[in-house]
Amino acid sequence: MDNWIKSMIVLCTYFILFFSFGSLITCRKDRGGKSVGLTVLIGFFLYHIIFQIITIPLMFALQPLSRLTLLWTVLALGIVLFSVWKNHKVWGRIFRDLWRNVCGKTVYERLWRLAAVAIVLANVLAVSLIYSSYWDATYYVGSVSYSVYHNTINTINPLLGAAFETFDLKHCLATYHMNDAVFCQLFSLHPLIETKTVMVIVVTILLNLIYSCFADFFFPGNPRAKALFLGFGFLINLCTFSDYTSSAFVLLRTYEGKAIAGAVVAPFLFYWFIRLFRSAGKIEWEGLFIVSWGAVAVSSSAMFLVPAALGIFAVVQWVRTRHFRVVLCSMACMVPAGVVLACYLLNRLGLLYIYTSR
Amino acid sequence: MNIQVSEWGWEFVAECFRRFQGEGVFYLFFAAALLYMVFLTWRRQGQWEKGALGYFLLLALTVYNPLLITKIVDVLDMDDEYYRFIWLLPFTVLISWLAVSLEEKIKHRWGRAVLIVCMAALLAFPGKSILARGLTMAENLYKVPDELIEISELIHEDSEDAEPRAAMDFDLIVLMGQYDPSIQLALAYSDISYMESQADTDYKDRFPPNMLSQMHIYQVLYREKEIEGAEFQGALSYLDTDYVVVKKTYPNMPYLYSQGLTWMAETDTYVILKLEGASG
Repeated sequence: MDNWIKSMIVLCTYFILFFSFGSLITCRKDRGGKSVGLTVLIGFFLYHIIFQIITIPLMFALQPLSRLTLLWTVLALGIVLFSVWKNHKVWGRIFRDLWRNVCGKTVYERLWRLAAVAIVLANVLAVSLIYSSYWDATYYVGSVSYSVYHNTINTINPLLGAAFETFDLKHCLATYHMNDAVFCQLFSLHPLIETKTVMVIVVTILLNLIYSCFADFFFPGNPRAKALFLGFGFLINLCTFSDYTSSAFVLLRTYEGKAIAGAVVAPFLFYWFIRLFRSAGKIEWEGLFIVSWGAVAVSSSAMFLVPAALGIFAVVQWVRTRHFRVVLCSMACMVPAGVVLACYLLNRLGLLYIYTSR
Repeated sequence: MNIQVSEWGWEFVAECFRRFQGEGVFYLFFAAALLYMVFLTWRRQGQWEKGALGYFLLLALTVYNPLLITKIVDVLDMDDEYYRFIWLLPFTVLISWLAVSLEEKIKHRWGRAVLIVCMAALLAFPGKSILARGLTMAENLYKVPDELIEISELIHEDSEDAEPRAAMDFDLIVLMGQYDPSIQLALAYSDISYMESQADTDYKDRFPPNMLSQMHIYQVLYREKEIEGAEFQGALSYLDTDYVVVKKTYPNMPYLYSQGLTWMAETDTYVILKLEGASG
């Protein structure tokens, strides 16, 4: 099958999965207004949390990648079917609302919504056509290529092309790239196409969904403001100055977990913070918890960023509200990142290492 | 982009911001967004702005406070990772918010258009951005040079071995493992990084046979030296290396031909040489 067609099928599969997973959280009765964008974003992180829970034990048990692929396919399919059974009525309403929104009340609204879609498409087109080569792709994309080729989970050092003696605990607990490997195996897709084209498009769409959520928060029911907000977001990311800004990562090194940590996780955390500054409902805390955990499943950089951001938010919100519950909830959100950080530090101190052979 | 606390001291944080976030206009717009937040809070119009201001203030007092953070970074040895904390400042979101909020305040249509164009121009044309440096279009869906794919195909066509071993130019090594992990690299990325730091002189006494062979190949291909024929041929043979891929501009080509390597194929930039008597 042509690689383009296969890529589009994989792309659609991802969004069906994210939407189905996210619906398990956002489509419950007492979770307020339902938005497709927010559901997909929450679904992305929930998907990676469950994937991490399944992958880590298999990885340390030195199981082959094909076993993970089989297990994950069955489980993900099960979750999708459960979500369809549980949420199909709500989905009907959500998509009717979405269609009504897209159509708009006036031609003016329709034009601005069309402009917003055009901006997102331009962004997707730009990142999927740009050529960029950074040395660290040798590691990140290489780990997918070698895992698929050797049918292993994170046991080959891509910088050497040979087996690690012990697991690289700094990177392997973030299982995002093994999800790439699973999809490569499942769809017989080349790792470079999966990481540098399919996931690049996925991440760019997620980024724009976040901007869209911000626009809805700042300027509710204003399609012109949303289109302008998306346009400025795209422009600012394009005009970044240094190769190390989150904008540069999301534009040029979108295949790395770091790009998601900088351009998706950090703003999404801020999104939940400002929602919590306004009103603290269940969905806000659930959203924050899922992003905080999902972040460390996606990128090892999140193990530093998430606790720092959450710690500061907790202090500010406690001072504002004087509710100790805020501190407890924030600490609960920090637990996954704390566990990963502890493993990394113990590994660095030489107190924790796991061999890649029996 | 190595910035060390030991070298920069209290200026470490400022230097990280300068190098990793850039200069000028983005900070100005971000500061303007913060001022606008202060204004809204003062006018009691802000819902979330007060909390966000507290969040940025506390970030400034902790994560971006040089007196505190330089000590933590130094103890945890996080000099290379620190720049990622800059990502906690939502530059893109707040600058976009500022631009659209101001635009919404203007009643006249032309006034709105002028404001949008001016802000976009200020963001887009300072002349140093990645965009201004020029972006290259990918040659294929794999986002690697077409030549890399060609080299991989040529080697596989020639070799009877499913996992042929080759010594290559560094530009190819960076990408080959990603595109075709079935090609075994005589010198991998980490090997080259290590050997770059080694002197030419005393390695023969220090290195075990495997590394010694790699170093011999490194000396010839990367430092462009002519070492004793037996050493180079012995290294290729020890590492089961059947193919050598170098740029056409490689200066010591006659030396390579004198070492039992023969021309096998070439692309626009590279020559593929094969060891005589290899299994291919």
